[in-house]
Amino acid sequence: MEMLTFFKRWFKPRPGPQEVGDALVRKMLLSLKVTSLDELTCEDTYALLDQFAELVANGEDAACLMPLVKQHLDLCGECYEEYEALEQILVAANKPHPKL
Amino acid sequence: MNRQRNSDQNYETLYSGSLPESFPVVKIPKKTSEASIKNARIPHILRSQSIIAAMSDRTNEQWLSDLKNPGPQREAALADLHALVLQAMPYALSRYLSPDNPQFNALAEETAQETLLRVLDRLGTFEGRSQFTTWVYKIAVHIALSELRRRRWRDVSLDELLEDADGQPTEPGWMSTPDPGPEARAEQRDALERVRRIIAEELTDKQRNAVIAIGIKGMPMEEVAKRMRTNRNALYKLMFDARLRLKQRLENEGLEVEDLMNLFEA
Repeated sequence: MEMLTFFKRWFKPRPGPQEVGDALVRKMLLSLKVTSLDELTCEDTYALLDQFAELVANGEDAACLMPLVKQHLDLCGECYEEYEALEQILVAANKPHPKL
Repeated sequence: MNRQRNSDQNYETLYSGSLPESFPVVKIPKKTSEASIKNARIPHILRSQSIIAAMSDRTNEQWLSDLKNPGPQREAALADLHALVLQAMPYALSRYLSPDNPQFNALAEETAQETLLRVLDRLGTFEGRSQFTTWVYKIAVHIALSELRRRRWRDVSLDELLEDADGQPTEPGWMSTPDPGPEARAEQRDALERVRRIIAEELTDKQRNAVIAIGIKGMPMEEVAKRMRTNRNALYKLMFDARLRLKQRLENEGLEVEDLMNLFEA
């Protein structure tokens, strides 16, 4: 079965312009808007994520101080999800805990 | 196909319930060892200020020194980290999994244990640019969300996902006003055709599949990477190269991305 899929894929003609759907065009254009020569990879961003999240939690202008991290987070959904979850923890950890 | 999600959506359907006002604090047994942490079942969840205060009192240097060498200090530090990660999980997963969900406790415990192992393994890479606990939370978040993504997408193949690709091309209408006028419509059609041709010519099959799977179908990059037998970093680079090539080609053809967007938004 896997072999069949492999051959099907192998002999599938390369998509022409008529097969490039609107969703793909739109996605590409939107992502090109924030594309630049200097971009961090997911690994680079992960290495700086704790620092970035702390800046945000402390009310600093993290986007200005670490613009490449901000740019990556704008482009990468998964890194953004991880940043957001981390931020949720930091916000909760800074909240005063009510006495029982 | 129900497992697919749009890139704008999240796992929110898995989450139902509200968060506690403060961290639920796990009661730590007095005598702990690495083995006991690994095998520990968390007996109850309580709220208390004192444990949090005690655990947060360590400086980065103290965390590192406590964790560096085996012994009672390391065991105590590990037990504290274990509790901190468990406390943090309801907040980290608030958009994805409710603490009331039967899967929650097992995932939190699995995450805490895996986090401790990874922290010990990577202790030398901590550069002190953040609080040590923030660094640990970052690791825990990555482990927990990766596991959630893996579970959510485990039964979806890339072929299945790409079957209906990204739909057939239609008249430009996804960003345009109902009737931009015949001249503007012709201009839009021409621009869209040029962009379609450029995308078809510039993107390799692999790049095109990656963009559709991640950007349109919403499959996480990590999951697409596994199915393409690569890693998340390499896949990001593959897509980055595609974006750069397209941008360059559009510029060479005298097409500015901003102008194209404006054309369709006009």
